[in-house]
Amino acid sequence: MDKSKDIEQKEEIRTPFKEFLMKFKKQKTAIVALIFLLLLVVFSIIGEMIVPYGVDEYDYMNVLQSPSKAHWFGTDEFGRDIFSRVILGARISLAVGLSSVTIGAVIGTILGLVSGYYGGFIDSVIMRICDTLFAFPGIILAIGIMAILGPGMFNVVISVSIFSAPSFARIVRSSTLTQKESIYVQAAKNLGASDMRILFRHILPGAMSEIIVYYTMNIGSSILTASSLSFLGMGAQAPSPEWGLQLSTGRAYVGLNWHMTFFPGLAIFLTVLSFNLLGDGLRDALDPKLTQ
Amino acid sequence: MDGRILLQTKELKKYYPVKAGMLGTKTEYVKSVDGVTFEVARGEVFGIVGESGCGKSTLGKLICNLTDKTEGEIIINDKNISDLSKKEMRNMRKNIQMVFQDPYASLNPRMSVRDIIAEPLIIHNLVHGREETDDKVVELLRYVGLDAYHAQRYPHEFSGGQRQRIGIARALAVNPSVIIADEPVSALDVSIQSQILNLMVELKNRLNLTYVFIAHDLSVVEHISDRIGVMYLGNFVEVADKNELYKNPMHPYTQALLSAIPIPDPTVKKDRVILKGSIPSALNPPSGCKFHTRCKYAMDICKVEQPVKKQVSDNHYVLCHLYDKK
Repeated sequence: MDKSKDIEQKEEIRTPFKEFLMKFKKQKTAIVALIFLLLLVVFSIIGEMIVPYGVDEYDYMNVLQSPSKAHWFGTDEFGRDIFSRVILGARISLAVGLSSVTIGAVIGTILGLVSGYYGGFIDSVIMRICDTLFAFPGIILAIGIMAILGPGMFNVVISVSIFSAPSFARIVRSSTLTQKESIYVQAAKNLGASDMRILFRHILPGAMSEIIVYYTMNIGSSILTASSLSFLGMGAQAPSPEWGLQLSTGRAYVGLNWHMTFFPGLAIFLTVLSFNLLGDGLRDALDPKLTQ
Repeated sequence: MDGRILLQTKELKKYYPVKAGMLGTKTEYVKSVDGVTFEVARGEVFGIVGESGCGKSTLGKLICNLTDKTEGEIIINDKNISDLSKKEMRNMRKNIQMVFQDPYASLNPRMSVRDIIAEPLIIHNLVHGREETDDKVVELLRYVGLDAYHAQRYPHEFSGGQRQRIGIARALAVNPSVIIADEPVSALDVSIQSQILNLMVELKNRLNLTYVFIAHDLSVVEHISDRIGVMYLGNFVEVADKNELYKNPMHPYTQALLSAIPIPDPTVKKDRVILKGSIPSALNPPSGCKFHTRCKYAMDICKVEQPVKKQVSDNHYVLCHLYDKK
């Protein structure tokens, strides 16, 4: 051991995080997706400063214009610049996607931990509720919840978090069940660790990689759901630049003015795709497990 | 050894229920540990040997209260652990620590060595502040032959032997009086095994520890133990002082185990006792003496009547009908 001491000391310490970064750097598609998403984040923070026109800058002389130098993505039925509205719509979609999935992930994770760790009756109750929610197709469930809560973006967030929570609960529960029997959890128990400590210091970090991957993927689908709800008239209300709502208004002109539906649609498509690709990349970087 | 009893079990049992029969209506039990009574004195090393599936690891877990017992008593430091509240139990865990068999699985791969060793210190409020924790961690690392710079590393950067040292350091952190070592060297290379065993002996003498040392290999146990219990299908068949057991094995099973130890001299002719078949299922143990199916001395009585524990000489107990008349 002493011989290797000098060599070992110089060697860099490989924390799990550094190892993850090393592997993630090799995921080229995921990096491109990440760059696109970071760009969207920048847009949603300083959107007003970079767009050529305002969200509700009406121009009745230039309604339904095709893409041109002045209006890159053309104009809508009130002469508003679609390019500006697509850029400013990023904020709404990102905010809804992130907040609803975060709420869903936190609730789902806690339920999953409790359910998997304590088992028994409480596990049955939580899992049956999840099964019930799983029985509905996602969008139908969201529509149902919206019908109860009424339209509005805040209610979209609530309804999307309600239907994303069960999947997190299931993922975390299965990871908890495996880890509960693991020797390092037994060892922690043997040391006298409290349940809280075991759950949050040992089991949760162990489930984290799966949570992160699923979280990323889920943002994409919840942005899609939120846009669908707005498209159906249950989410954002006019004159909001929400992408789904723009699609919905553009639908009336789809034969004449393709750009009204094309560009918001493209924005939804690219955003959801990026989240999914990023999720794929994260999964490849976090799997196979960090153990070795 | 000052003779004072530190750890004691009385008729300890662990049955695992198994659903059997059509529709799972009948419940049968795997009698993993079936009525174990033994005691360990302060400063002693008690070795437990037996083949896989005989219940020795379950016994270790029961003593550490990592699995609930079905019946019986565990008394540590004159306290019956079933009487303790949850909080008292957590406190009691300071006295009794475990070193696990698999050093690859017993350390959380997401925690640094410092965090792993600091965990028991923090749980039991033994240190205050970052600096004191770091100092204590380094002290513990030195105890087990590792160095301060190892603290910032993660388990996957260590070899099996080093990981087992970390496991030992973690167990030592709370200053326990008993350490249950559940096959601590069976996952290691032979060359590393002796290093770890020597470390454990050294630590025992230095820190006045008591060990319950579980192994499936008599030669490993011989090196470290004062007293040895041989386990077969959930119970001890023979318990004796080390020298007595090796010189004068009474139970046919012990004789078979001892004859399996290789002698490093090819000219010596060995009288090997080869056991027929494998260990019977604990779900359906043989009637009478559980060993009779594989015993070459088996008599009629062995099939019907369970032998009782008999003292054959000082500190030497055996569970066998062969010695009934004595």
